[in-house]
Amino acid sequence: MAHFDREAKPIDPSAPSDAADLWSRLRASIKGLESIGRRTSDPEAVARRMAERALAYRTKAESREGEASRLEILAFRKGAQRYGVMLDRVREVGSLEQFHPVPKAPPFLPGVVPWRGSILALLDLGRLFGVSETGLADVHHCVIVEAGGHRVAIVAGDVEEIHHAPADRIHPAPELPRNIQAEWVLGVYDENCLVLRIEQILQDPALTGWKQTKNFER
Amino acid sequence: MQKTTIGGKLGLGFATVILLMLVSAAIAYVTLAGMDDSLTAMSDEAVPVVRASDDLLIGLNLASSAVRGYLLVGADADREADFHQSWTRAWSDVNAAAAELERLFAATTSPTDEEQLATIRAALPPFEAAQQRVMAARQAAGEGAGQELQQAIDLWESEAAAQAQSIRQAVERLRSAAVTRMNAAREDVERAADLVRWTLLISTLVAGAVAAVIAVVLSRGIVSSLQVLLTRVRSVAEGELRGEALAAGSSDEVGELAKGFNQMIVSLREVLSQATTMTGEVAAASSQIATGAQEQLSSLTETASSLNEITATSEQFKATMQEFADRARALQDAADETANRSADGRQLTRDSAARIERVRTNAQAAGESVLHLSEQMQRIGEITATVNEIAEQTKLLALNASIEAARAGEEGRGFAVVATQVRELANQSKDAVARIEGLISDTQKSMQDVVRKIEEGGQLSEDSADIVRRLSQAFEEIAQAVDQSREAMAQISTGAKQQEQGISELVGSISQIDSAQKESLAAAEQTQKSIVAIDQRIRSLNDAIARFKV
Repeated sequence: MAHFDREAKPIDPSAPSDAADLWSRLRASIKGLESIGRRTSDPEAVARRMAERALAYRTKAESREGEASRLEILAFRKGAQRYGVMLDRVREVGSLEQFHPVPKAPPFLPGVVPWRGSILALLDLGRLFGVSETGLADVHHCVIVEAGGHRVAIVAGDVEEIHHAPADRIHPAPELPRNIQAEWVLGVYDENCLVLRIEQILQDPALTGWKQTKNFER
Repeated sequence: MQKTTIGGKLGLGFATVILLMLVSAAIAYVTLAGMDDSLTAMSDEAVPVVRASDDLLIGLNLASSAVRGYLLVGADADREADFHQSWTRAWSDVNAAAAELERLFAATTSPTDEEQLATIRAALPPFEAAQQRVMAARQAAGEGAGQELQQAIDLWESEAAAQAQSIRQAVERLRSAAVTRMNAAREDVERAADLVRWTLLISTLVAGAVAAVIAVVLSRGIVSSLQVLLTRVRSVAEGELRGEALAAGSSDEVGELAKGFNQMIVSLREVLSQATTMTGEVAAASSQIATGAQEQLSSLTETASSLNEITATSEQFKATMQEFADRARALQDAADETANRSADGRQLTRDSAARIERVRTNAQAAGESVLHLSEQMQRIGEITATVNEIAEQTKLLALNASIEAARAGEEGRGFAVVATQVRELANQSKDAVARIEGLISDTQKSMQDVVRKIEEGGQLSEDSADIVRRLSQAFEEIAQAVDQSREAMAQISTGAKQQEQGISELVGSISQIDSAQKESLAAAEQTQKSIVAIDQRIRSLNDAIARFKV
């Protein structure tokens, strides 16, 4: 027996202690999980956290005082492209839960959505600009914009943020490919965000011509 | 010559000689017979007479001397007795001689002899008496010279002397007569002896002459032939066997001898030629034997060296076998040890199998726990999705609030701030949710790892169980093999012992063979020596044969 014991120990002798260490650490870690529930349900802790957060936002709001000359831009994403629209053109953002395809519609108008009792055309900027050929699988939101009496729902993958951008940070658009109308774009903000002239887009004959025939006006 | 043998010739010669001898012997015998008679007469008659006469005369003289002594001695009693005794003895002799004479002459016819006998017969007694008287007179006279003594002496001289004289004369006469007769007889004897002497001489001479004649005659016939034969015999003795055969000249034994000699030479030639042939053959055979003996010797020597090698090899083999047996025993011990170990090993594998089974059970339990954990994580994910949705909605609401505030203009500025804060919160919630989702994803990966590990552990434990099963089987096989090898080792050990014993016997046998071999070697050497001796003898025999010129 002694011989076998001696010979049957090829395993690293440090392993058991490591394993024991591991088990003890594991036990400690699992024990530590118990405190999570307490932390979230403890009213004092919640109150303290809320107070801290409120303080942080207060400071932020104060710093924005006197910045009225800044432009408010709603940034959103469609496919790989970021777009921005002036906040005063936006009526609402919402979830794109369902839309209805329209027969014989051009590709940049995949369908229509109901909004507050009316029907709005759904505009795919990627198709309109010929940038993206992807479908609508990755779009979950829509941005309702209004200009010149026209309203339309722009398909968006993700609504990012409202940026308070100084006007000088919006760089003029460079020469664009032909299928992107230069008058549609105000400029480029934050390196790759195309800030759109919604009023120009909505008055474009491509859209208006289609609209006249269909008469979406209220 | 006719067929007369040498024996016959010799017989004839010897018969002649013997006849002559017989004749002379007869003559001598007759003569000697006569001489015998003369000698008998002489010894029976003349000699006794002379002796008796001499005795008588001597007795008388002795008696006279005794008497004279008696007279002269005197009164000495002892000496008187001596002389008296002598006298008596002398007289008895005288009487005996007288009686002898009487007897001798009893048959005589001669008157002179009668007369002389009568004289003696008559004179003797008075003479004795005279002497007695003298002696008596002496006795009577006693000591010293007396009258009586002188008378006695006178008497003696007068009377006795005369008597003595007459007696003496008579006796002398008798004696001389006898002597005369004796002389006559002697002359007869001498004559006869002369006759015999001459007879013998002549017959001897005659016989010698006859023998000489016979010898000459015979030698002329035999010796010459024998001479020739002798010459041939000598030449044969020197080895000359050639030459013509002897002529059988005579028909006697010499002729026969010559014939026999010729035959002998012929036979000798045959024998010698055969002997030459045979010695050649024997020499060849002996040389073959010598070669064979040499070969045998060399082969025996080789065998001896081979035997030595075999012995040495056997000894080495024996040592190897002993070592082999020792090693087999050691292997047996090792096999016992191995059997014990393999039994321990089997026990260990059984223990391991039980533990591995527990590990497998634990892995299953761990898998179930992880399943439970996964379900819970899924629920958490669902909740997180809900939270995310809420945050999204909140964010949209906040955005719309901001939009509405922007539309409201300056009045909506405070509202815009709140909306912004709400949006921030919503963003934070989304971030938190994203973090939670990331964590869930990490957890999922960890759980996948855990599941994989558990699965791997289960597989490993399955493999281990399999390995342990095979190990147990291997231990079983080892135990069987060890049993077999132990048995084999025992057999090998026994076999090695038997082999060792066998080799010992083999070595013993080889040593016996070796001693026999040595004896054979000695015998072979002896054989070789004998063959050398035989060869030498054959050579000397050949030399001896070569001396004969056939």
